[in-house]
Amino acid sequence: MAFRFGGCRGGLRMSTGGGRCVWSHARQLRPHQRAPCGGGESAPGVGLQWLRKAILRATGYRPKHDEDAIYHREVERLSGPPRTQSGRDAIGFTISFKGVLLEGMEIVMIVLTLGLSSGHLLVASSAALAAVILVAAVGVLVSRQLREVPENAMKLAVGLMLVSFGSFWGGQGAGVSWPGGDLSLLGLLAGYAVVTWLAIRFLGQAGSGPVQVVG
Amino acid sequence: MTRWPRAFALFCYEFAVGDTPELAIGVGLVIVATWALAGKHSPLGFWFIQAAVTLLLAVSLWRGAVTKART
Repeated sequence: MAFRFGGCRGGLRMSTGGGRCVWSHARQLRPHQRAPCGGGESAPGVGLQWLRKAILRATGYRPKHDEDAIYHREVERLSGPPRTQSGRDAIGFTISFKGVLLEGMEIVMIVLTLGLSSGHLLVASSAALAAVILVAAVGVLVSRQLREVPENAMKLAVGLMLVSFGSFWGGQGAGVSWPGGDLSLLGLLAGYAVVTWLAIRFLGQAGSGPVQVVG
Repeated sequence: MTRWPRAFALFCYEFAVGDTPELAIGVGLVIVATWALAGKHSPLGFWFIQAAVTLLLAVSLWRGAVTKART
């Protein structure tokens, strides 16, 4: 997100907003903190929301977004306001900060949940840091290719992953012992993918008229 | 100064609940029910959480489709 808005605003200064946000969260980590159960509860809820909307859009029950129109409109809006005299880009900073705050909170919740429940907070924190670096690097390398992926397909995939991970963590937090350990995530993902496919087929056959597109 | 907390609370509500209160409430109930089941019969909790999440999705999709059909 930070890189994307950085491109829109003609610079990468706003990515510092995201960096400061992640750092501020990292400083709050304390080994003695209790693991919140929120990660296991919020992930399936948010994932189900995404999955539901993506299925309804795929079957015409919700209008799809005209991604090109939305993209050009947002770029135009973000490109308009000038920077301050000091050269600071307040708009880019704020947008990047808000976006990374949201994602950063998810990372912190996941790291705390997994790290404290397993007693390996340092390993979990290091893995999260490595993931942040890896994702940032991949984002720089393939940002153009990622923009070609249809929005609804991406939301469908993200929804499936969130529901799978959320069920796994939620179940684990509730005391479920998953057969095969972490590998059962693949089974969950496959199962929910089949359910999604069936739902799209069923709702598609039920018919909802032509797919609407809104900008 | 009360504008920011209110806006943040509204944002949190919109993010967590939005137009699908059945999912927000349902997920909470599923976690509690899974916890109750897994405490006594672990295999039941394993199957229950998958079936319940699938059922939640089906109910929410049905609600979304019916709402669209009415409009």
